[in-house]
Amino acid sequence: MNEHDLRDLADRITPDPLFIERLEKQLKESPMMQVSTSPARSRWVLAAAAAFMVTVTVFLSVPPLRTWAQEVIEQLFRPAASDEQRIVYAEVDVDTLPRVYTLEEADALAEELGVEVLIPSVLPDELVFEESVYFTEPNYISLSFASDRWRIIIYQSDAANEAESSDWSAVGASAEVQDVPLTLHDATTVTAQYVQGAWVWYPNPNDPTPYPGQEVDEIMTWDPDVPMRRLRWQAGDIIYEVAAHLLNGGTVVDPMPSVETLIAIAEGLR
Amino acid sequence: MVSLAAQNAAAPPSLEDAHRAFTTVYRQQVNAVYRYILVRVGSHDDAQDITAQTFTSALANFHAYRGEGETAAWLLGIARHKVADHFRSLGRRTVVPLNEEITLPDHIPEPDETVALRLQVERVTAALDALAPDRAEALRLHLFGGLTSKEAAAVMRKTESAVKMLISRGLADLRTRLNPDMQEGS
Repeated sequence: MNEHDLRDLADRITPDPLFIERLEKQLKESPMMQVSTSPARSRWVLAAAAAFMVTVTVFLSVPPLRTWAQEVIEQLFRPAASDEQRIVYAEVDVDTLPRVYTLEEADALAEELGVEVLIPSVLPDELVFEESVYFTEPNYISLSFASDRWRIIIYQSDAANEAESSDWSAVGASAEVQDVPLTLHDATTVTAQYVQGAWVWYPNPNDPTPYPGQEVDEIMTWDPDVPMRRLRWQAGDIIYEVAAHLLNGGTVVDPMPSVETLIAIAEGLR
Repeated sequence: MVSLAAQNAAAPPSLEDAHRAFTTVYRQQVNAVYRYILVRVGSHDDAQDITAQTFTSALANFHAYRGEGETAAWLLGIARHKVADHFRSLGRRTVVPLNEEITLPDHIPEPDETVALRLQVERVTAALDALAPDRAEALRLHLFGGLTSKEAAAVMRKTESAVKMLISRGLADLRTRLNPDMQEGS
């Protein structure tokens, strides 16, 4: 059997026509085909595998990381010098990361990896647990829960480690960062910070969508109207964050979790 | 930091445009996606499930897709993740005890040609599984997924020349495995 025979074999493999027809019908009727045509900010999309799956190197607008590492402890969200910055990042290949699909497995994974992971005791009913991923660059654990409209990601990371290797805390210069008091599960009180918006980029429409793992080099702009809300705090040596974002091209005018919901989720972590 | 891409705000496509565009992509690519998945998982039922998952994910992210010539690579990139998820999930599948009642479908005889094709696919799938993983993956993407070596390189995150080498060596290995009496180069 040579290359020609293999190509011939490939050509002879055809899926069941009934399956093809059924799937096409199913896709046409899918609510996901209902593309948003909102005139406000058109549509946006998570280009990475998930919101927290990137490691970023900032070339402009950010002071040396050493300085930043000290500042991040004092300032949970760190405003950049402007609302634009150039970033280069490669999406993490999620296939190589420890990933589990039940909360029990997440707990067991955290134990196996020697880290503590807090599980939410308060969540809106519509949310279903998706997965937990343990990332290594930098080290952090994410737990994600989603409905068909939006997703909550709970993020737990070693503060020093994160400050050394990531600029996840950077927000645009114009971002409105609010202080929010939290009473944690152990009755301690901390001051969290809340922000709405995200860094976005507007790729050339003729460019292909980046593949997972492909390096991206872009000028990103801080957009306060992106439907992403983040609540971030530090307890001990750990930085926690509860982030909510809409799925499938939602806009900021669509209903999404309020800051009060994020606070309830944060205070319910135990 | 969140990496978000926003599509061109000036001209959001209409629902009809999106329907038409995705349906075109689906019809053009479904066979190649299915073939690639089949030689990864070896089962028609699993291949159908994963093909459906692949296109469902593609649909959910279709508003991010803007390429013209990269569609197949984009879809096969999604398919690779779905296949990886499939293999991960195998360890968590519920095992049905043997004494539990199972309803089996009526036996439907297969035509000889179908049986022969199925056996050939099984043989090639097994031979691919026995190759070095990168060589096997390059062959699957190229021969069964229909990707050029450049597209396969993008999916595998390797250089094009590296993928060409993987394909060339993979073909030699595969020939040896499928024709054990034939020495490489003969």
